[in-house]
Amino acid sequence: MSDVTESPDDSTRQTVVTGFFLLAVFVPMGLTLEALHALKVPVYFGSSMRRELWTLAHAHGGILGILCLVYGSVAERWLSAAAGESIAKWVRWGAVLMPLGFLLGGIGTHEGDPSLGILLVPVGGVVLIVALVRAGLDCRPSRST
Amino acid sequence: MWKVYLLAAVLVAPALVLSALGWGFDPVELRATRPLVHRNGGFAGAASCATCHPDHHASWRQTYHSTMTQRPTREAIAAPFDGSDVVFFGQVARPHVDANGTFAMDLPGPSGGRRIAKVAFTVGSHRYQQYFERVVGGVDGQAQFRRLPVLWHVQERRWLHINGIFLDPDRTAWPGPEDGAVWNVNCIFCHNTAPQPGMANYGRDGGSADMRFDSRVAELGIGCESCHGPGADHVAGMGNPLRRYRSYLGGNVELHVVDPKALDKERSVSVCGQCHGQRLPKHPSMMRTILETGPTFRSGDRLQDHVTAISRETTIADDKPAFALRFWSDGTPRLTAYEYQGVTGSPCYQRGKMTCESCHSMHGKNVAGQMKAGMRVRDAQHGNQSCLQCHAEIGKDVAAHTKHDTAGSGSRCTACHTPDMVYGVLGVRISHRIETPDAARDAAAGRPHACTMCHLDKSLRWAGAELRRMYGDQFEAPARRKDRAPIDLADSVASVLAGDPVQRVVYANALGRPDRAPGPQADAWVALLATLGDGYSSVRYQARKSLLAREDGPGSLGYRKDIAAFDPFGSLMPDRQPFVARMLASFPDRARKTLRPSPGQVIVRLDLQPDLEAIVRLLNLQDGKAISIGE
Repeated sequence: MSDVTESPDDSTRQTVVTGFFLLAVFVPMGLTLEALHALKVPVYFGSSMRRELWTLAHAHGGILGILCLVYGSVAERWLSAAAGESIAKWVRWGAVLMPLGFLLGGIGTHEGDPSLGILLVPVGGVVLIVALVRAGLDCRPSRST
Repeated sequence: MWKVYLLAAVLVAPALVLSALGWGFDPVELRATRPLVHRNGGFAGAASCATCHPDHHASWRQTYHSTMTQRPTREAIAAPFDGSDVVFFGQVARPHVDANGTFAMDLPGPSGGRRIAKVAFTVGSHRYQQYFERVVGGVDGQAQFRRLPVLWHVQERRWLHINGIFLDPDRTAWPGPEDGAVWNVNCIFCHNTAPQPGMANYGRDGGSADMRFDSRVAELGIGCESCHGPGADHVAGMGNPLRRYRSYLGGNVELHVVDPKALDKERSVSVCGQCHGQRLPKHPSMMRTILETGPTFRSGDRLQDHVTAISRETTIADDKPAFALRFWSDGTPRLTAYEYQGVTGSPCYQRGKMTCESCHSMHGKNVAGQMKAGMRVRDAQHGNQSCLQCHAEIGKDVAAHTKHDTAGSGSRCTACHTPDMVYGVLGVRISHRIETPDAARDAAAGRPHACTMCHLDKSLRWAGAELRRMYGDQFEAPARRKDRAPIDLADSVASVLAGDPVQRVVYANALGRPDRAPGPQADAWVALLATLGDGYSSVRYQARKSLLAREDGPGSLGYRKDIAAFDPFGSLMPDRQPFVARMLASFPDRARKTLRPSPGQVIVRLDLQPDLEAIVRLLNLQDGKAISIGE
């Protein structure tokens, strides 16, 4: 491990910060969407594609924010320091890219297709799956005792 | 080992989803394999469109176009098939659901017996719903679908005999030959998408009962491809996301589909005109093609390259005009389903850029009239927007143009330029031929006049003088009425009593309008009461509606209970006459409390007694010609 590599503490802290950041962005987004529902704003209701994408952005942002918090809480205990650090980066990127892709995909939509921002979603999804698989493979149950 | 399981678990959901797509319900495929449905000529069906155009599909699905023809499911059937007796002209029909759950009707048979007709599908869902049975015959077992004689009026929530819906004189018996119209040569064309009648014995049939069909449509009802053209190539091409995004980013991609908004005005009005404009094949020789493989017109074509729009002068076999009664004598359409002729006969189309799309939208929220947002012509606040989108200079000072109070209907563009003078589907609709009111022209043509449909106590002579006073000498004074009633008579009264059936039904409707101009009303009440005895149930129906509207407005005369109990349909003349006589006899007592006598009254004396001689004189002027609406 080189000197520039962040310490496990930094990695954990950054993942937790990312989690809170995601929650800070996407939980209020849920309130915003509910307000658009309550006010029956035509430009929102007029496009089922936009509604679906933004609902997905809100849901993914919230869930993945919580995932970051959970990861930050358990990584040190269950994962090796080197792997945990690297995986944390992948988790953070995946957690940010997916809701961001849904959010951007809902801006400038076409009736049957999202905008090109949606391309961030599969990228984020792959990153997240890789991170979770790596975490699963590196998981050391014996460390918990 | 658990690491292998973990890796395998990552693949479980994608594998499950992909393999599940191959099993079970496929809505697009399912629709294509149902009876009556074809996928010829590049048609793909509306379910294919929903994948990429969910909002447009959903907005279309809400329209009555989408439910114009339906299979007889519980959701589709609007009427109560509860086994109750439905009686017209002394004959009984019993719509019911049989033991197998099939919607059926127990009907009078051809030779005095009874017969059971099973409903094969429905036509209509907005104003009324008609029912069709499948009749199998011939050595090949091919079928035709025939209309059943009673239908359900959706808004009135009651059964009607078809005689009451169309502008036909009263009948005294049924079934009759016109009851069982053949769907395969009539309704199939405009109430479905990409119709193919599939007539099997063209030129060899011995009349309508002998015609045999293997009919198919791309979609039951009027679907996406009626207006956007065949969609199979579009679906195949745009299934590729790279093509789609190249199109979104402005790339040159062949869409293989028609956008009516992008068409020139001729082609744009042709899209709607393919059905909203009664027409004949351009050449008689095309009839065979139409009856075998369907109409040749496709959205994006010019309608006049395929058909000839019917006009007052159109002839068929001999040289006599075959459709003259469907137009006012100046050529203006007076029945619905001639909107194409109205629009293309308007200066706004001929010299301007108006198309159907100027006011209407298939994908707006207004499903009843398909009006664009802000274009509803009956909307008191925004009713002029349809016209002001081009005539903005008039909008700056509406009163200077209309010479009427801007708050009243006299300042509504449509009240003067497209008045309610078109009959169809048991109602009076606005004309689609935009024109300037002209009392002399209208008197000579025997057609309704915009001014006197609101100023109900005024004559055409008065209207002519007012037009000259307000707009100048280009308006001539009317000399005589086509129906030979005195020109000084209140036009509404003369028209509802002495006019031909369409004139009568139009004025029976006008006499009940709530936004009428103020003035003496005794003549209007008596004219409507007398019209309850008219020989056309459609006219009686409008008279009854207008009387009820007057009863519900200011100045009720206490007729509501009697008029509400009066059935304009199905009763015979001897039953109606005593009722009308009783209503007229009670008029003076009822009217004295509310109405003031006016020296200008023509069918009511100053003591408020109905002047029966004057009424009969006008009734005797009626044109006895029977009108038949071409639906």
